[in-house]
Amino acid sequence: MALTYIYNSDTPQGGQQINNTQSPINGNFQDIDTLMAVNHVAFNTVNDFGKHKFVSYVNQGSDPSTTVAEIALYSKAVQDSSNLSELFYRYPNDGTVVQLTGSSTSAESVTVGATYESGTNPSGYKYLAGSYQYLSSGLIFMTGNIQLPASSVYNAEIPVGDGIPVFSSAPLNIVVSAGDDRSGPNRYGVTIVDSTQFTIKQQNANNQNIYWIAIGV
Amino acid sequence: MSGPINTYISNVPQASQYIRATQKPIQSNFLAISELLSVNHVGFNDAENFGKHNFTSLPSQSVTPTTLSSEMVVYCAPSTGYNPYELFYRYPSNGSVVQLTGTSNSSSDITDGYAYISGAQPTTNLRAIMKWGLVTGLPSGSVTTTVNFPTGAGIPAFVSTPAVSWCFQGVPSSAGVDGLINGIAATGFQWFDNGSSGTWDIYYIAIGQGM
Repeated sequence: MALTYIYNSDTPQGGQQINNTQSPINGNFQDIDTLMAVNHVAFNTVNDFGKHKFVSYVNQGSDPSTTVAEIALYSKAVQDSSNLSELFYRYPNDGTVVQLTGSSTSAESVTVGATYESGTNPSGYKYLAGSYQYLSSGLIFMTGNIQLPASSVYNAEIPVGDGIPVFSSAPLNIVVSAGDDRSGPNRYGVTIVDSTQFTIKQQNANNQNIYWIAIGV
Repeated sequence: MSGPINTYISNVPQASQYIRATQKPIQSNFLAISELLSVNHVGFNDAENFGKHNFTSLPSQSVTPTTLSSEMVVYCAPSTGYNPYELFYRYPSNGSVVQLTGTSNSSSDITDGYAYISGAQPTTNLRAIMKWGLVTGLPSGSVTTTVNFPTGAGIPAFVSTPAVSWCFQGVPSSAGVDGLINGIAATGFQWFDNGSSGTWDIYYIAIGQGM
């Protein structure tokens, strides 16, 4: 709902009669009071006046600029995600833009697994559930679970799809471990290929659920 | 951004002033209020979003903001890490200060890095930190090798034993490879392999409490 009065910042005018200025001045004061009560602790509140109760971020169409000693925090629409918007921040001096929030949901993880099971699929293995999370540092944290046959080497694809973040370069680190505790040898190795795939070798004599964690930017 | 264009005169009008002398300062105040609120905020006369924020610009604070018993603050302050400034938050009652953002230099620390995770213990100021690394040339032959987590200016340190997950880099081909890590501590961990020959490379991720 709009403010009751139209804020008139250029009032009073020098040529106005006093009886013509009472209304715009009064209206401005009421508008100021109403506006400051949005997000903020309003006038005449002991101790807390001027602080924020919370901050509502209106989605920005472009990234805000920053000076040399400040950081901007804002909201922006995101595409193909389970959320319509996410929080971002930008480093000083029009620096790097980092997505602060965003993660997969459990329902989405199931969908991801099903997608990959029917995707590129060398015979004998399949994707199970996975998830991702934006970390406040700007890193992307991604997990997955692949079922591999005994003593196998497979090229594993890093999940892609609606709303799933994409590593801009090869992940910084990937570790794998086995989900089944059976007879050895319990050796699991990974070779990071690029931003989209890595190679897993498991030398166990049995089929294994391989869990992996990848971090990257 | 320069300005402000308009000067805000907070103590106007005065009782002793003639009305003709107050028109200018009152007008200037209304202009200044509108000008100030247009910074970061959706301004007057926007029917839907007036008073909300387009974004919040957080100039660096040289003094940590104080907090009352039921409020928190988010602010920007200088950092000793890779970026000169980062976002922080503070718990109620002038509580713990927690760094919200920050990571190692992704361009130079490709294989060994760290990142803050936005969680912390409010009473101890300890928080979750993740470190990762690629360690090359680890020996076999029943030799124990100590692997230290990265240290240095701006790099957060674990204060207790982290959880460490690891795996080989590449594909171990030797039948004698059976490596393990033990002796995990805040400073690092120990690698042991009982194979007869060869050297191995491993990836690790450590998550633990630090500051």
